Amino acid sequence: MAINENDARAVANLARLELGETAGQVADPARLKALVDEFSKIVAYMDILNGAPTEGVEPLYSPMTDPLPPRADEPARDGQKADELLGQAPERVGRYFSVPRIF
Amino acid sequence: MEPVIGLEIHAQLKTKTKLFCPCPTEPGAEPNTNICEVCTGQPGALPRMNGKAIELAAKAGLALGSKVNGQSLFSRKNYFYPDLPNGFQTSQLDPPICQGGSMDIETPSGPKTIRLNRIHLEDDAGKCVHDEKRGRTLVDLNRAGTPLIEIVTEPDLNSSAEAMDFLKKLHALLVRLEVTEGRMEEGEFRCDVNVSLRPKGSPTMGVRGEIKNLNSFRYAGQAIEYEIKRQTALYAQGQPVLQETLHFDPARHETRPLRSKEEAHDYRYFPQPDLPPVRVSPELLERIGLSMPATAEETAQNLLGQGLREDVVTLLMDRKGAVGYLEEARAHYDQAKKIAALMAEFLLPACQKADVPIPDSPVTPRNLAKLAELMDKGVVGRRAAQELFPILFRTGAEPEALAREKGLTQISDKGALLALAAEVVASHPKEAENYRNGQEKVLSFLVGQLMRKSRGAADPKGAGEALIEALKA
Amino acid sequence: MTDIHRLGLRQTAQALQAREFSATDAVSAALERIRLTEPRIGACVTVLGESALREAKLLDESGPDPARPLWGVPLAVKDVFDLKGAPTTAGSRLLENYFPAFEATVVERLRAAGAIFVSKANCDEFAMGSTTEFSAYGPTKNPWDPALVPGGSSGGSAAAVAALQVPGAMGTDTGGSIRQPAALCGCVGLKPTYGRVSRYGIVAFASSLDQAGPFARSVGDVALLLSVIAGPDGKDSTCSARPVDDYLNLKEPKAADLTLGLPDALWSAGFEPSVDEALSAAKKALTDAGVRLKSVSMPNLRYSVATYYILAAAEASSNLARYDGVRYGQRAEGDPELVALYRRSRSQGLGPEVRRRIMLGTFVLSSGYYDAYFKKAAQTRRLILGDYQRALGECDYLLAPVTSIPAWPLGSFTDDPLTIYQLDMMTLPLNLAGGPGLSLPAGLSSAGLPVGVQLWGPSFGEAGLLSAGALLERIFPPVGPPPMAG
Repeated sequence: MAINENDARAVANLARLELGETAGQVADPARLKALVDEFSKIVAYMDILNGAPTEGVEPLYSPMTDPLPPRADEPARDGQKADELLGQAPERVGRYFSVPRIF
Repeated sequence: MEPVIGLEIHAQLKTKTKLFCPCPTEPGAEPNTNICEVCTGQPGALPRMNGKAIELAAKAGLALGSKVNGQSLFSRKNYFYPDLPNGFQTSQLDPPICQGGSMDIETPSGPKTIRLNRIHLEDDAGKCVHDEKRGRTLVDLNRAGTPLIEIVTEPDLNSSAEAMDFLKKLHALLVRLEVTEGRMEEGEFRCDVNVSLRPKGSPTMGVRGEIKNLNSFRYAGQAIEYEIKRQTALYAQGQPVLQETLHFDPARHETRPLRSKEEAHDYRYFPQPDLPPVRVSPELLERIGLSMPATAEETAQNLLGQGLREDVVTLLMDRKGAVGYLEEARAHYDQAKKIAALMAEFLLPACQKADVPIPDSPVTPRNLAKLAELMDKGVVGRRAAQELFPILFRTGAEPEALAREKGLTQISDKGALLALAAEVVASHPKEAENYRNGQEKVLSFLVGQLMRKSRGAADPKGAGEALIEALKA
Repeated sequence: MTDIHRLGLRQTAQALQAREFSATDAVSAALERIRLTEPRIGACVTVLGESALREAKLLDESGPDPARPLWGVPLAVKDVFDLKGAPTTAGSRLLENYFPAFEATVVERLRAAGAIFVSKANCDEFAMGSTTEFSAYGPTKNPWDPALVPGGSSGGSAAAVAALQVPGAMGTDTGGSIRQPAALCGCVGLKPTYGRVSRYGIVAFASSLDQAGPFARSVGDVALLLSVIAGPDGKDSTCSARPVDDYLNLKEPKAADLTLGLPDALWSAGFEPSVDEALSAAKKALTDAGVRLKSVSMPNLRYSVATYYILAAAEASSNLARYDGVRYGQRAEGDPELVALYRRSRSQGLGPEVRRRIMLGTFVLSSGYYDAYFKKAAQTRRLILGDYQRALGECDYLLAPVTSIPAWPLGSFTDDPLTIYQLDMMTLPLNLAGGPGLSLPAGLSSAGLPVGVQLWGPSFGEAGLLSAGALLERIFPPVGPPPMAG
């Protein structure tokens, strides 16, 4: 199927990506059009699957057929690892990860 | 118009570790201490399924009459939020671990069956705290990855009272089965409520409002009440009800729309490729079934069958550990009704007041059974029991020894009572004569005299019987 | 001593055990080789010189240990493996300063076997690409000709092995990312069966397709690396509990007993003449040796590119949602409100190819399109698995080309994603089916560039596959190291 600018914008929004704009600056129309066209072309290619004889075929989501191995319910705490993980944060307040206020 | 109500209940499973990693689930830790690479969504980390969570979810399903699926599948529910480290929640879409099932509630017009749609497993998100001063939102991931079951009912409830009854009964059941700790103040048992209105008797459904995240029975009841009123008013004014997600403000007793999101939710569910299907084998199911205490219904029927009063049964079933305590006491003295009466009158209030879990009561099941036995034999009277119990509860003493030590045993030996009765009759010949001439009320006077003579230690019932016999002589 | 870098992996390991040279000598030789060749090929994102020498010194102090088959052997790992003490960039700007707090199971196992990591190898960002040009740290170049791409996404690992920086390396293969660069660089690469090697601690691209595997300069060397990394791992629920076969004592089949199936859909594709010529020569060498070749029908392979790109992109869109700049990674400047911050951080941190695939993956999962794209592709995936199983029923192994063209000049297709996607057609079907595949050099083209073929086997049949590979390796003319190796 063909993708128009609104479709592409909706997808970009769902994916939390900008669409051609940089750092909040509105996209250059030519650049935007090129991105939408490219995306549309890629999606259109996928339509080749319309020809696949999938009637009644069970989807295959993973080649793994073994059952899920359950883990024993035994706790483990690694304080040093927790600190290292926290240390990766771009912004912190005390022991919290910090982001701009939500509401 | 008739309200139509459905519930989605989230119960935190009673596991030691998170759903997909070995981090502890216990609340109260410093922020971001119970975290690892898995529950913080580090590059390369993969989930490891907690087997206990599977068992607890299946157990809930068995208790609620659901079909436990031999194979169920996890999916990813994709959305962005700072408390969601992977950018997706791992939840079950199709098929869930349990399908169908039901639970009965009591209504003024008799029992009513509330059907369940499904029970599924999922992981919880972390917590956001809003820091007003800094204008930041702070994220704590200690809760991220905590195992939950979501229990979804069919829209079979028609009033806030029914909904609250259902929630209380479900809560009691899941706590008794140890599926959840159910600490509501910790958010371990919370629900979303869907409310709509339709003309009474109509099969169609109205547009519904969904009230999110209610963490007390009372709030759930109030939120439903308010929402019914709000929608009734809209219908009366001829205004449409919008399908929306609402937040209940307990301070104002009203529901308010949550701030609308930038775009409609599109969660892009797809099968979680990092987790093969969950298998519940018939053997596992049998093991869970065997380890499971009787259902609430079975327990209640059993207790009623032993002659317990209905209000006592309700009381015992509402208190964690009470039924088990009764069972244990019965093993020492098989008089469930008597023991239950003592529990209702003395033990439960004392435990509540002292904030002691019933199984940890200083009065052991054996000692309570002994007390019941002493009372039945007439060794200890009701008044004496009232006096004895607080001491038993405080000290954990053996009832018979304590009663003797405190001089609270009754004279119930027939010979002793007959001797006393003969003395009383001899010293009150006029009253004895009157009794023999048909003035039966004189007997209570004579019993009083006997009690006084024994300094209150005689068993009143035995004293009456002894006097009647002495008067015949 | 000066020629340590020329030794193959097993030779290096044996010499180290025999104390012919020390672990420090081996590591120093690798580091010297990196210093010499790196300016021309750019195979490394991070060179672990200091830690590698430190580890070598420790090993030398305790002496060789026969229980540790890789004692003192220098290795490179693709920069998607978590390894403590170095950033795991995954070729992305977003993870430039990301230091993992844990290690990949593969890394732990190699370490336990005595290996020493000397570099984190360059790759396409998040392993998305077929040329290693989509790395935020610059492209890797082909050791046979620095004007050409080394293939990808594990191009840095392949180039490092081909340029004699290291005798072995680790890569990942989601759609051909081990087999294709091995072919273009003239080395051996193995994609194990999905579930044979743990994915724990490897930055995920597409979870149902990703699989880690080794590069080396011979089939036997690859087998040794596989024997160390393969096997159950409680940390990866999709890693099989099956016991591991013996990969070290391979029983080479007799050529006359071997029947190889040629998937029609792949051999009927058009080849660039020099590749065509080399492949024809390879087939002739096989039949001359007595190997039977027969065409096998795999009609659904024509859907593999679309099937793969839909499924891989869908999984990637979800796997990469975690890169939001909240807990780690680069966050955009300017502190806009949260949604804008997400969009800006992700757009600045992630490159164009990654963004393209996230867009595609988000679209195929979105409301209204799931059935037509994602579910349809999952159904087609089962058809492709069916073709694969049926075809293997008619022969011992499948023999396929790896690329239809030889290594191409840098920049040829960077603005033409669909053409690049279609070039992956020869390698993708195996990832969809989940089976193991061995890529090995079949000879040099008339232009003097390596041309590879791949053998596909039944799931968990690595031992047989490697045995057959060892036979083919003897039948094909050796390609040797690239001329630059001097």
